[in-house]
Amino acid sequence: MKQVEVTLKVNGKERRATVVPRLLLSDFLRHNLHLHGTHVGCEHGVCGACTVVVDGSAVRSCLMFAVQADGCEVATVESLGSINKLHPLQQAFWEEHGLQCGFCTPGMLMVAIELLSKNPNPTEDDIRDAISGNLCRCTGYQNIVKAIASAAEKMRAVTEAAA
Amino acid sequence: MIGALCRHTTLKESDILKQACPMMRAAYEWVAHGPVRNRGTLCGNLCHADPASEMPAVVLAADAVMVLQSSKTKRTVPAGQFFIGQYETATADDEILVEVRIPVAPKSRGWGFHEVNVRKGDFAIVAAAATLQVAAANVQAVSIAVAGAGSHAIRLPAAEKALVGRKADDTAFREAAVACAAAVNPTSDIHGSAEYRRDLTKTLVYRALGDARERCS
Repeated sequence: MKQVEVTLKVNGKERRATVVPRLLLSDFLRHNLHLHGTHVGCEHGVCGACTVVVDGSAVRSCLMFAVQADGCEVATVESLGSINKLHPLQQAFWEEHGLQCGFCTPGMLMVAIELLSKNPNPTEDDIRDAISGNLCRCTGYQNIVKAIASAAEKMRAVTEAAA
Repeated sequence: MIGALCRHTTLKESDILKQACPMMRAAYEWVAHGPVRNRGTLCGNLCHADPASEMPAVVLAADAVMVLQSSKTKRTVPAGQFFIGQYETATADDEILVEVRIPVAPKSRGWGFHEVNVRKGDFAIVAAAATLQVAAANVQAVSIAVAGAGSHAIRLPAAEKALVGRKADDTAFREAAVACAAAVNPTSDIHGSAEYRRDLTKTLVYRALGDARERCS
């Protein structure tokens, strides 16, 4: 099969690769770039576990081809923080018990980061609306909503302190 | 005019759409979820022609026209002739839907959109879209479209015709709703029986017509 060269920024770093057109962005991130934080749950766009942020918008990486991300800026869950320096969102998920098995969590985090970048002071309804496309089999969603609200509050405090 | 690559999110956030087709703007509250809307397109949704998708009902009620293009031809197909079966449209094998043209609704035309589904963002069990124009308290023009109650979204021309010229009151709307319920051909699945879908058709058409009347200026 004919291969195509793609160049895209992933988590702030320029990445270049030669891929087949049918390669999904989710598989590209996981297998070519070894960024395993993006999870693949259903492979047809309904579970949300594969959600990443492309050019500022949350998208289903299982419904996008890597070649469609050529020239784009992609952020995966790995961009949020590291084990020694958690992003406030990750910290809040930990503190509020917003995860159990963690499979849905990267998708939840990326949807939340998009929400908070566009709406730093979301209502509970806003949060529930934003995560409505992400399925969680473990938690019952309450603590995920709490975690996002808590992170939003902490992030606003930081922004206000810096202003 | 909505092009092939116009994403759902763009439409949902568009002030132009809000003015030109508020019915579509309202229906977007029911369509999928943010990440899906960020990449999905209206034209793609219409070509996929899911029997329970909201937008086919909306474009039918709005009298939209589809522009289909191949390497050799370009033609227009009214929405009423576009949806022909389950996941089946009038698009030929070598054609692409490049544009959807929606007539801008005059301010005097009211609209209504109602849906019932299992969870927010799911496809409809049944959805009803209606527009209404009233002159001296009588129905001057009306369109009714239903999704989820058959192999594809449909207009209900017999019920519409019976309404024109009548007083735009609850009795007329109730009769129209009953007529629509009788006219649809739903099947049963795990989300609802055919009988339930008929009942939903009646209820949602009635509500959509009522809302449309409230919105007639």
